[in-house]
Amino acid sequence: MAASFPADYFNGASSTRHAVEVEVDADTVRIRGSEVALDLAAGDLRVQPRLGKLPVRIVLPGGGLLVADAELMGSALPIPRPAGLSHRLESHLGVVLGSVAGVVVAAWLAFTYGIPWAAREIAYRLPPSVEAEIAVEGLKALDSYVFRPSALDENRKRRLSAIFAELSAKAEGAGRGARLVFRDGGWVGANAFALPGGVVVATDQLVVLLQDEDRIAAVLAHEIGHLQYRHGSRHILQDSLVGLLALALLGDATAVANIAVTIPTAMVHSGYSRDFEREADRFAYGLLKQTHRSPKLMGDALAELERAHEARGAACKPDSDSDAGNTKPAKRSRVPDYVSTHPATEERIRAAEEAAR
Amino acid sequence: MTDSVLPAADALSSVAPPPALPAAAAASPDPRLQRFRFSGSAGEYFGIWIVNLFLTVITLGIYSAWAKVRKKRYFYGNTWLADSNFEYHGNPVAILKGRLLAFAAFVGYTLLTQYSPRYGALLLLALMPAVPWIIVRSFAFNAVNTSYRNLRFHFDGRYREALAAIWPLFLVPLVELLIPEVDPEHRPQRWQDMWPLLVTPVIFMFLYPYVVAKVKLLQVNRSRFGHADFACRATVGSFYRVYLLTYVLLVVTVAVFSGIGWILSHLLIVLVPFFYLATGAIVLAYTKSRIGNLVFNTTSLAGGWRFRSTLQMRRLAMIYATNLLAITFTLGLMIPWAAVRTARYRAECLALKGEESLDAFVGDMSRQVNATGEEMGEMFDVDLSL
Repeated sequence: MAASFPADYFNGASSTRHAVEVEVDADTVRIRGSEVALDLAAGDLRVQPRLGKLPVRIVLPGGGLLVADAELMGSALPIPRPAGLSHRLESHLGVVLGSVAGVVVAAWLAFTYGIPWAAREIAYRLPPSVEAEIAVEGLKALDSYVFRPSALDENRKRRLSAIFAELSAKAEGAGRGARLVFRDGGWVGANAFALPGGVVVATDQLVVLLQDEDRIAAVLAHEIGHLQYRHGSRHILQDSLVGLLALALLGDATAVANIAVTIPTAMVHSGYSRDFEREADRFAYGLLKQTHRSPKLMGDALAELERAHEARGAACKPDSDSDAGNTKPAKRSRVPDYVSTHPATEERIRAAEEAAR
Repeated sequence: MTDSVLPAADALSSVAPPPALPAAAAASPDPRLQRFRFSGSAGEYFGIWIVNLFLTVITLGIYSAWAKVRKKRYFYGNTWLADSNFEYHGNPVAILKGRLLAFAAFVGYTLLTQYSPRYGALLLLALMPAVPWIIVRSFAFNAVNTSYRNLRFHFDGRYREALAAIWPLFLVPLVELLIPEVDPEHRPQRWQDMWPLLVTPVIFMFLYPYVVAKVKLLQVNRSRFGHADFACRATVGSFYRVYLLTYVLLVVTVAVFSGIGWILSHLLIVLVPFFYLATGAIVLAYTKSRIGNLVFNTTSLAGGWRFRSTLQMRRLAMIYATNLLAITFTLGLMIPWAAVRTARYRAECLALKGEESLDAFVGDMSRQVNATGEEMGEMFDVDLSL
């Protein structure tokens, strides 16, 4: 019994479209149209992989092409299983839903564990010279655009430096042997920064605001924590990896999609920052205890900083962040970091009090 | 970032609406006008997209070459002109090879720039001689792997022609190396002293329209459909007009939005990224619509056929802006929807006009072209597509 279906035939030498009827009878395929009469062996036809509802394309020996509706073809000319495999997967509801779940889980795993893990592994392997360069260049940039020379008196600086040396001697890895420098913070105000490569910057405003040297010690211990855990380098690496991964997964679509991907990326960034702050806080509690100080000092210092920032008004709130590696504070200056990148200050103060018990 | 083929195939990455084939031609006021249309649907493409994405993920990216072919086949295949659809023939293995090579080059470049931007500039300079080759290969690969009615497109451009189009870009890293580095010890206090920071971007902005124009003209003028040649008579000056206004628009939107953003930032900090996205949507819509219309409306095929492109900046900006919102709030799950509706609008806006029947084109059998050039181009984003 012969089955037949209508198709378009293109001979490959011209763009002329021929409406034809394709008759399949056992192993013979007859193609008939007003100017076309072809008899072929069914085995010589190459059915191209199906895709969506697109018409099926059948390549003929000699370069001809048949284009036919999949429905109309029916079972007249069976589509070889391999040519239909992708289509069956792509149009199977279960496979589609499974893929959604698979992609979501894979992305979640990658962003939650994969990227932080990779960034940590790379950061701890970075040659010291690379990190040292970040510190030198970062401080230069900050000196150029933000800071002014410190106006603190030398005695005070010397005492604080001694405390800092005591603290950093107890640290390990990149936190040990760090250097403390003082700067007038300018519009940054009371703040401290840890630059990858072993430099901690304390602003004059911070020293003046906190007064009590033990409370300043708590902030310095927190910054040493950022150095020990290489938060600065990990931050830079994580941001690059997040961008690359997001682009690899979702890019390729349209230029617009590439832009859109940056927003979720920013949210991921905030999540990582909070984790780093908590880690640095916990490190600081330990260091404070080791040097016979109370972790509660950390909470006191935070409360004082929070009050000062509120007093300055939300209007021009700078980076209230003592963030490691943030060598370009100007770019984020209008963003109140406590909103996003820092865990709520209250939560941190509570954690400090608990650690003190 | 990706697709750009020959003029007609360019419509592929863009493309158009639902059924009604001869009906569309009959309904149009001008019977000689053949409209492009796109028949893909967001739901159908979502299945294709997510399954291919999943396969890409579990194969650690290897499958991405096959996924790319599926995607291109879907968008080309759903682009119709006069009852016939386009077809993409790219070979996934060729694409995979190109991707691996491009990936290796990209990793090398990234590592170097992390270490020092200066080394990055030096490496770019060293890679410059390869750029014309990448451009020619990627255009040829795309063209020869595109067909309509079983006739392939071709691109016959040569290395030296591509070099003649892009040579001004070689000046950018050269200048970068020549200008004095800003000395942090003597920070620039006055605006006038900041000039070393501005030289490179300004030179780039000045040269960019020239390069885009020359590359676009090369692409169109050296493309064929079968034996029929494409010809574009757009002038370099008309590209400059578009880009000059793009720069003005960029400055104006950034100024307006940062003004609004600054006022709102204390109340609604979360809105700030959306202003940034809106700026992107508006500026992108302007450039894409103007350049698209410019190129298509000055392009003819085989002497007698003309394209007519009627992209509107406002419609395109709305599409981009809503796409951005949808993609952002669904963490990317709406990408298929966004891609399909953009393709539909772009196809709707494109038509081919001519006295003869589309049956009259003739051609020859195709030859194979390596995919490496295209993939290198994609990774480094030198594919100056519409």
